[in-house]
This record gives sequence, C-alpha cells and structure tokens, in this order.
Amino acid sequence: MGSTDTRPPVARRTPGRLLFLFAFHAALSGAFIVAYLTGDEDTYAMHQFAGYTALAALAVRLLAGVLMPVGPLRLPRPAMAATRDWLRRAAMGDARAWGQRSPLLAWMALALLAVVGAAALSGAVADFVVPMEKLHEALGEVSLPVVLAHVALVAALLGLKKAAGWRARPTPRQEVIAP
Amino acid sequence: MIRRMLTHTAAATLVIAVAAFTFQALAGGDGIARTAWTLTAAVAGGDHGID
Ligand code: HEM
Ligand code: HEM
Repeated sequence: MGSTDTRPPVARRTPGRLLFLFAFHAALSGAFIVAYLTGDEDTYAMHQFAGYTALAALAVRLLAGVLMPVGPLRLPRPAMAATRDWLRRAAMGDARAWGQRSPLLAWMALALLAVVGAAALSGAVADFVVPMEKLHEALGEVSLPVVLAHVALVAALLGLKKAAGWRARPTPRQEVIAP
Repeated sequence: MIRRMLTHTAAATLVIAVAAFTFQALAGGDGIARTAWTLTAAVAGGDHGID
C-alpha cells in the first residue's frame, strides 16, 4: 500500500457492513466494560462470560477483516507519512485537516485491537494455565488507559471538526433575517 | 457515527451485564440476591469481598 494514498481503494460503505461494524463495536466495548469491572475472584463467572464475549467479537472482526480486505471492514493499516503530514497541517491550523478523517484513527484502532485482544487472549489462556493470571491481570490493567485514550481521541477529533465548521462560516445566518 | 457508537456501547454494556449476571446467578448456583451482593462488593466495595 502506498502511504501517500490516504483513501482506501474502493471504500464501499454498504449499510450491511456498517451495521456489522456497529454490532462489533457494541459487543466488544460492552463486553470490555463488564469484563473490566468484574475482574475479581468473587465475580469470576461474570468475568468469564464477558471476557469470552469480547474474545468472540474480536475473532469475528478479525475474520471479517481477512475475508474483506477492502472497504470499511478491512483491518486498520496506519500510514506513517500520512499521519505526519496530517499532524503538521493540523498543528498549523489548516481547517481542511481539522475537518477530514484523521489518520490517527487507524493507529488508535490497531492499538485497541492489539491491546484488548492480548488481554482477552491471555485471559482465556489463564483460564486453563493458572500462572498466566499475573500476565493477564497486567494486560487487563494496561488496556484501560488505551480505551480511555480512544474515547478522548474520538471526542477531540469531533471538537476539531466542529471548530473547522465554525471557521468555514464566520458570519452565519446574516442573510436569513427575513421580514 | 459517534452517537451511534456511544448508544450501542451503552446498550450493549447493559445487555452483557445482565446476561453475565444471570449466568453467574443461575449457572453458578449463587442465586440472584447473593450474586447482586457479591457484584456490589467487587465493583464498589474497595478490596473486601463478600466473605
Ligand atoms: C464509550 C464511548 C465510545 C465511543 C463514543 C466510541 C467511538 C468510536 C468511534 C466513532 C469509532 C470509529 C473510529 C473511526 O472512524 O475509525 C470507534 C472505533 C473503535 N472502538 Fe470505540 N468508542 C467507545 C468505546 C469503546 C470501548 C469501551 C472499546 C473497548 C475495547 C472500543 C473499541 C474500539 C475499537 C476496537 C475500534 C476500531 C473498530 C475497527 O476498526 O474495527 N471503543 N469507536
Ligand atoms: C477484554 C477482555 C478482558 C479484560 C479487559 C480482562 C481484565 C481483567 C483484569 C483487569 C483482571 C485483574 C483483576 C484484579 O486485579 O483483581 C482480570 C483477572 C482475571 N481474568 Fe480477565 N479480562 C478479560 C478477559 C478474560 C477472559 C476471556 C478470561 C477467561 C476466562 C479471563 C480470566 C481471568 C482470570 C482467571 C483472572 C484472575 C482472577 C482472580 O483474581 O482470580 N479474563 N481480568
């Protein structure tokens, strides 16, 4: 993949594929929150249930990404050059950069899939190999800041987009003052 | 996009929480009341378990 081309080859965002992405996100994020809150010996059955739900969601997502390497379901492929370019333009106050889809999202998605995937996978292993528990607990704790960073990034990019919109329309609604 | 992700996350958290709770209460054999107590202790009760 040439890193100068920031657009996916044929981004066919059919409703069905978007629906799959929403369903995946719902299952993974919901299961993650429940698993994180129940990672305690006394709530182990709940933790198991939520953890395996997260693992299943990730497995289905990975399969879809491998089967459909083009379009919204392809696995995130971050591009270094495009990211540097975007960061530079965004820092200089280029409203076009603020408004467009940020290449940071691909890094974020990859980090999330990797860290949450490692947490869920090590949990499944720890279910059978007890000494793995220590590693799993560490990975579980590490994944929370990554998820929080994800929510913060989504909110920050939304803020940038709004700011770009305001800058594009400095004098809104002047002409709609009708008699 | 963001709004749908957020509402889906909230809805799925509730559904999975209820499903996981039911799983522990019924399959685990603890019963609903005891499981509710355990969960409260685990999530909000600092580091003390039910025992
Ligand atoms: C609670 C509020 C949350 C909001 C508003 C939110 C919003 C979003 C949005 C808008 C995207 C798409 C980004 C893009 O355009 O590429 C996304 C992707 C993603 N989110 Fe979240 N999210 C939330 C929570 C979570 C949680 C708790 C997880 C836990 C693991 C999570 C994991 C992911 C993953 C893995 C992706 C990448 C999806 C993919 O490409 O397969 N999110 N999120
Ligand atoms: C996204 C998925 C998961 C996350 C975020 C997660 C998170 C955590 C966290 C944070 C802990 C440590 C709790 C503490 O220090 O008291 C923990 C413990 C544990 N988890 Fe997970 N987990 C996940 C999936 C799984 C899965 C699929 C299993 C398999 C059954 C599993 C089995 C365990 C075990 C055996 C422990 C040790 C519990 C104990 O203290 O006895 N986890 N998990």
